[in-house]
Amino acid sequence: MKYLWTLLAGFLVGVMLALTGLYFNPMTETPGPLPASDDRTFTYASPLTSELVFAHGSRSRLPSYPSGVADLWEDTINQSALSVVVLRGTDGTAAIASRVSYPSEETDLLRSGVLLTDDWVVSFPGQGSLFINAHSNWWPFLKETLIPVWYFGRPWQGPSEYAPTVGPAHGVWALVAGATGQFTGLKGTAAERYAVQAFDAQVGPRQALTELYWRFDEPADTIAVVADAP
Amino acid sequence: MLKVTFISGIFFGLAAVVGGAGFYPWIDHERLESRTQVVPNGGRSEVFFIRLPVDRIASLGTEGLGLGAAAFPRALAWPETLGAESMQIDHFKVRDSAGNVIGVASRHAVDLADSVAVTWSLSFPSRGALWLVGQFDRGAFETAVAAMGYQPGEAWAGEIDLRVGGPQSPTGEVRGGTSEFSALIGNYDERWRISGVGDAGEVRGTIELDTTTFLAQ
Repeated sequence: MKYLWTLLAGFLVGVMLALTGLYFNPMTETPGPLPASDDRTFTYASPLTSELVFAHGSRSRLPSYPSGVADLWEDTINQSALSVVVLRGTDGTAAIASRVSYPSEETDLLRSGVLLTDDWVVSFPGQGSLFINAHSNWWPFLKETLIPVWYFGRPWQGPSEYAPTVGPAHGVWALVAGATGQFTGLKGTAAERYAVQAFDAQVGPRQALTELYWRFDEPADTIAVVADAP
Repeated sequence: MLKVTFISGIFFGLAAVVGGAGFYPWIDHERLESRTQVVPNGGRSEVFFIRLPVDRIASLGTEGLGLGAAAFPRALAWPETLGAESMQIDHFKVRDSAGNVIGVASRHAVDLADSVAVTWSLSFPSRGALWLVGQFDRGAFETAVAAMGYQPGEAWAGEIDLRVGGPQSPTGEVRGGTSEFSALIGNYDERWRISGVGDAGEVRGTIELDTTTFLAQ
């Protein structure tokens, strides 16, 4: 019996050591790419609190809106979220984007972090549409902001910035594929960056500056998107 | 001996956590059996359904793109910053042929002057996203509903079975997608079987997306 308790004590120590190592694991904190200086820039508000639509499976404490939007309650989609945002360009152009997000089955707490998949459709009036597929690692945000503030009641240590994009293109960039109009046949890469400026213990990020920037393989078609979230 | 036991316990604890972190399937979306059929030339066929109005999540758009242009929820307004060029943005739950909800669809219809381009992204958390691109023949649609006596703004009951597609290309393209759809190409038919329009402008009926796909060479 003495050996059993000793083995159990050692096991618990090992578990604690491993959890500590995972918490500070640098492999799951690699930041995504940043925008290039010649990228065009757009802005949009936070999909979580003040854009056109935010719908999810009712598991989140974040509110869905607008009133009457359908919940994604079915078992096959209840971890998904739909957001609809307006992308606003500093050059006066504007687009509307639909994003369906869900946890990625490639989530790996040892090597890649907590991954979220985003399936975007972005449409410019009179110009056409494009697809974006992104993998984002939200472990740094969970570790630094969400878990301490939401689950341990600690004060938020912000403002903070995150560049969560980690793939799937070349393991670094999100993938862009032109769909219709002037984007037909184009391929490219994209990434996002979030600057959380205010975080509410009840509903999450209340104010943020978010960037989504993408670039087609042809240099002339490089575009960037910057998002301004409340 | 106690020291060896203790150290062994540490190694077991380390191995358990590291193994769990690296190999445990932390995210495992519920997946229903894919209801695909093999077609004679070697491709595969899969049909997706959207039942209206129950599968609507959110819709908004400008005037001029037919029955589907009613906003849902009603409070949703088209942003002024996007201007008045015709667009319609819809989001639906997607069902398989057995009626099970299996994904979420985004549909963007954009007026490109010479045609209305339709872009579908069907997101299935357990399978990936399927990308479809086609056209919408606005004239054919308006003619069909007008012939059945539909008046905008009024409730209406009737039966319309309309293949939605452009005059030059009634069939749309499957443009691949992500995960299990990434290597697929093919075509699809979009069919609207409408049985009425409610007082609030909500369409009743079924949208059917009949896809035939092949592995890209």
